Amino acid sequence: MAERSNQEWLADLRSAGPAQEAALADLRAMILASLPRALSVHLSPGDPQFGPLIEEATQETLVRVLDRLDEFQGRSRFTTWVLAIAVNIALSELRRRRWRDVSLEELLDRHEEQGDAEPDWMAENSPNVERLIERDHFSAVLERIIRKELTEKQRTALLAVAVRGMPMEEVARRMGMQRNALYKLLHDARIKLKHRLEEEGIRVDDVLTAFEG
Amino acid sequence: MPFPDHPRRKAKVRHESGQRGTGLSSAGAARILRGLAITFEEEYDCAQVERLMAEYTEMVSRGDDTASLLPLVKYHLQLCLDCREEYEALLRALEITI
Repeated sequence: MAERSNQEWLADLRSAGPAQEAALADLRAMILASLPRALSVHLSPGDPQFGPLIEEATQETLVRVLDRLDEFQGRSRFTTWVLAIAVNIALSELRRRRWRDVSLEELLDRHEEQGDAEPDWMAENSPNVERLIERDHFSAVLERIIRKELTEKQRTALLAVAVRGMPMEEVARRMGMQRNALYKLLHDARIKLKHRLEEEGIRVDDVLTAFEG
Repeated sequence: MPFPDHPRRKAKVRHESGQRGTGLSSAGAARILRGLAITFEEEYDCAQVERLMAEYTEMVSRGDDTASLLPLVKYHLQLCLDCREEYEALLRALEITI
């Protein structure tokens, strides 16, 4: 791949003709060489999805890069900025595929039904009964505030993302909003929860020691 | 022997209003509380972190002190699993391109 400065990348990609073609070919080779390692903990190279995903993400990245050249601020190497876009595209697609058969309703209902078969303090090797009872008390307080004072949207998003572990992007898709808007919704929910706990005389840092001690 | 008035048992039933409970376990509560511990009025959202992702990841790969230079990105990555996955993937990619 030809060495280019950030300015040379931008100039070549904005030009028409051979310079742009050469720059796109070099970018394509760079993405194809780097993306497999980026995704290595998410998808094995032996997986039949691997090759097509890398190829599709690379193509989409090149289209998006050309579309967003004006957004590059020069705060990093140009190739790193391109790789960040490629990673975003590839992981978004992987999340979509992995969660496509799971609805929010199923996710929340399934876990509610499973619940906990028994309180923690009944389990073998319970470390400290008093601490576990204290932990359960704080859990109940937190649940009450979540149930009574968060909006339905805030509650659904918080439980799906923070408790059930569904990716934010997938929750956002199901709630008909952008990931960024969901982050703001969750931020408002966390701020409200934190303030309400403080109003009840509960400091989060103190409570955490009951959970993690 | 179970305590008859164990608070978790109360929390798991459907509530008087008929509204569904949250089914919040102590493990789930702990995850929420960890998020609250690093919740601040001012936070970067995903779009702001996306704009800084390449710069931040290069700084980490160089060993720069990101906690001092870009603390809000660092906090966001602790709170947002999607962005954290993307940051970690980009960091792996940079290991072979730098």
